[in-house]
Amino acid sequence: MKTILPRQEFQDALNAVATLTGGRTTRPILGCVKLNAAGEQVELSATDGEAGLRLSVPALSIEKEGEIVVPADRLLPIIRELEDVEISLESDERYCIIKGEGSEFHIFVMDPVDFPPLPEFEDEPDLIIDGNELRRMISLTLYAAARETSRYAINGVLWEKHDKRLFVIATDGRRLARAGGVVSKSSSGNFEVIIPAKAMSVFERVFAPVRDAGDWDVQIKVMPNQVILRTGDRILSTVLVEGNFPKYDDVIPKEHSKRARIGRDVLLGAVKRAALLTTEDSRAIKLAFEEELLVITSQAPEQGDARVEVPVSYEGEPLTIGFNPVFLNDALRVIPFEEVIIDLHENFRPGVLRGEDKNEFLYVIMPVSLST
Amino acid sequence: MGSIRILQPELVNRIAAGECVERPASVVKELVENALDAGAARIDATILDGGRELVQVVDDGTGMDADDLCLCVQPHATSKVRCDDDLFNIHTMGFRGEALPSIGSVSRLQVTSRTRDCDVAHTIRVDGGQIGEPTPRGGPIGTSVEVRDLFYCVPARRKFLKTNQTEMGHITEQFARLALAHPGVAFSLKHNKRVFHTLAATADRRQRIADFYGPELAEVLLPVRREGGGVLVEGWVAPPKESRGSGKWEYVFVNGRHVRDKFVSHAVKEAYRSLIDPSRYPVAFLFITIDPSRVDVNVHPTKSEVRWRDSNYVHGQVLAAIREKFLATNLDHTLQTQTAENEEYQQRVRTAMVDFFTRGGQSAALPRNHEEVGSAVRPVRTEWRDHGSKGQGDQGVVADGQHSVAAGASPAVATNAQPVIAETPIGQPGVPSISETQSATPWSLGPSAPLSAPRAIQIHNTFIVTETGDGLMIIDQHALHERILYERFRARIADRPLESQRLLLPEVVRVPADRLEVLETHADILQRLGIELTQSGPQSVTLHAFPTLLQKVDQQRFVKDLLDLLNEKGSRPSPETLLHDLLDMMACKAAVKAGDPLTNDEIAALLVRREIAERSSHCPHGRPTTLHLTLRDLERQFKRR
Repeated sequence: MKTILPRQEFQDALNAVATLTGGRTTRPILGCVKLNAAGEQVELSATDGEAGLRLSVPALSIEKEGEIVVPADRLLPIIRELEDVEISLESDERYCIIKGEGSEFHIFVMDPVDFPPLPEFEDEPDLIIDGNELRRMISLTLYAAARETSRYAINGVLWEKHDKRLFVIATDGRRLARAGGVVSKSSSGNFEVIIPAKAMSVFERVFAPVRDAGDWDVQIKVMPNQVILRTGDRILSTVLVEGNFPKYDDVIPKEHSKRARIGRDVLLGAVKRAALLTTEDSRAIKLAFEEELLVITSQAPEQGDARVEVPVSYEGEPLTIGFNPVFLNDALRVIPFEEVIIDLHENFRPGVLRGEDKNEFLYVIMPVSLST
Repeated sequence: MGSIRILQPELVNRIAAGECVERPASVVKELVENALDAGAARIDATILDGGRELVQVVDDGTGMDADDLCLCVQPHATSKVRCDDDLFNIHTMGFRGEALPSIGSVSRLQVTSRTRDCDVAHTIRVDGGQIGEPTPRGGPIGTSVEVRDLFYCVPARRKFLKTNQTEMGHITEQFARLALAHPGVAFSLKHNKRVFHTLAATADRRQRIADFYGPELAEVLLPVRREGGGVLVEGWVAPPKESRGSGKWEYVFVNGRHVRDKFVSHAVKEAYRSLIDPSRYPVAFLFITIDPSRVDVNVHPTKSEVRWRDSNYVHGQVLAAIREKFLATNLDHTLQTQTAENEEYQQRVRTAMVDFFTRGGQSAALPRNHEEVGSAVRPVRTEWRDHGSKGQGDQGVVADGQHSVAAGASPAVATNAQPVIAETPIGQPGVPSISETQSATPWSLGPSAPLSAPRAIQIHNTFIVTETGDGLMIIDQHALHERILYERFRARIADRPLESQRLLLPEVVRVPADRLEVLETHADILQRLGIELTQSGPQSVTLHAFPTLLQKVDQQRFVKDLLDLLNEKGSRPSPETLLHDLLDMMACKAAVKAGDPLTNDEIAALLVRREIAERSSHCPHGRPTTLHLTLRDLERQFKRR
């Protein structure tokens, strides 16, 4: 392989694939990036064994086609530190040779044969959805996904396609977030798949509208054990999480006897302030709702307490309920509504946060039992 | 004269019953063993009302004819032993001829049986020891034994029967032991029309283990096998990280019979030594096959103990079987390091010291090169930066070797430092007593006041090395964090019940049936801890609420260990002891582990809390959290003194 690449574009691409090579792994090849120079571009691939990412950089010239596998944690800092506009990359069997003005680096390469093959995006997509829409749905839900629990299924995010709608659902057993969106084109039946949270966060970071912030589509292909997402030359593939996602519909409360409406920023600010006096072991704030007034209190044993009052519009009997402020904060930070609606029933039953958007987004959160 | 009499036979039987029929579970055991001895391929046990109302065991074995039926309910009547020599060469489960008459003397017993050669079955009743006549009736080949109203004629014993749940717990345990030992026989167990277990005959014992204790456990088990000298040891052991809070997870079978044997237990414990925490127990299922003439099973009425002809040999074989497996298996790294014992520990500390001096010195001199020092070493730079020059000064002095410095530095520290909290004055600078007495091992254990500018690094993601007024400290991050958390939990729970996060998706945890009883007996303590558990099946509980302070802990595992611990502790330990054990367990699980990388902030926080926490020098198990090394010790090592 021998090619000349624009340094900045190459660095951006390496940064993107490094989201998958950075993790701890016992297989050195998973810490590598594969470069494939063919035609007029160089394609970069990386995988962590579960998710795979491919994208291309247009080459300034390709003298000799070919592919090499290079440790990403060596390549990326070199490209970052070089100050040239163009860099030259060539390889023989043992080395990858990187040249800039006055600098030359030789890095040992690995055998491309050992690099795990990544699936191709073949045939027509099963689904096309607006990229901003999908990003919105993911950012509204991803934070609620479980991390490394023994219930594997909820370590992922559920995608539920129903006719022209796609729902994304995440839960960690204590709270649950659901967001919905419209599919712009669909040629498949309804499906449910569980996608690992890791792949979703890679998507969030890498599949941003790059150049112009206009419309961009994401093409989606759903296969029995994996799903592939494509935008332009970026292809993200991931294995699916096996197992059964809990029947989430059952835990969404169907009734409520109390409803509060409050400005998002007001509530977020109040929660943040009250949370200042919580500790790791008693992570709870107390929300006391009454007509026109919400009082949030917290107490850090042996350190002090806090009391924050904010106006609220509230219908129903007064209620005092405890919540983990982190859970409230997670959702309030990302929801796009000016006003949030909180439906409550009793202080040991789940509360539901939503906005005025026809039940598309909702966030079910289980209270913390308050000690008396 | 006249005050001593030969006892009536019924009374003899009732006394014998006291030995082998303790509770419904023993009835199940005796009957199932008889069925197994009769060569049954399928055994069905039906229990009503915890065994109080009915224990019925039906098999499809060889059966008995009318004459045998009459005999079988007589004391010391058995088909299994004929002469003296047989007693020392036992291949059957039973042999004493005690079970049926004993059971018959304390219940309403009915035995129905038919042999292959006979067209009709016969049934015989024994009512509180009164033996009836065999009468013919219809029935399949095999034997069905019904035991009704157990202990109805011994009210004292009946009174001692526990709740259904407890009795079923014991029955399930006995049942599991028998079913594990005989995978080739199909079993079923029903209680009040509810099916607890339906086990198909299988060639794979691991399948049985999965049936009883869940596929998650069965999957991680490591097979062991060793044969030699007429002893075959085979079975499965769990890797050390799957240890449990209770010793009940060690199942030992000798020639198909479940026993508790101190030699085998000791061998298992030896094999796991230094691989698991001393307060934890291994999970093991061991099946030992040995020539019956080399083991005496006639030691205990319920045959739960054996006497080996050569116990040392058996011990050696068991130990070797497990050890070989462990040596050939890559066990979980973090656990090994976590409980590494003396030699390895000392070696690591020494390596740590070398690291500290080679790299720590560099980092002080070239603070900008931190990132290149490598991921294993993490220098902490906190808000103490303005003290940096003084710290460097100290280091320079060490290099100069001016001996007066150790004493000279500490007053300076005391003046501009936060109050020095020294719990005990051991290891005070300038007092050479410790070093003098321990000159062979220059490590002195004991607290010491850290410098006002604690520069600290984490090494091997396990230890934290930091500077103190008169030398340096090496801290075991897990042990220290555990102690800090323990103290905090204790203070917190003394205040009010723990806050508990309710679960949106309640979590179902599979536990052995005999653990369910603790839900009731320890309801109060569970509530104080903010743990809400309900029974959701014959072998499962559902978790509805979990304390917020354990939010990073694996709930499944915690609940299993919690129930093990409560179960192990029996019914009434002092609440104080129990709480200590529980908080200890919580602290251990919530604490950072050896091998966890810490951020600079986390290290700084840990060091600050070390000073606040009471008794921070030792973890709740009593192991030291901190090794202290004074300048004087160092100088001695470098032959400057």
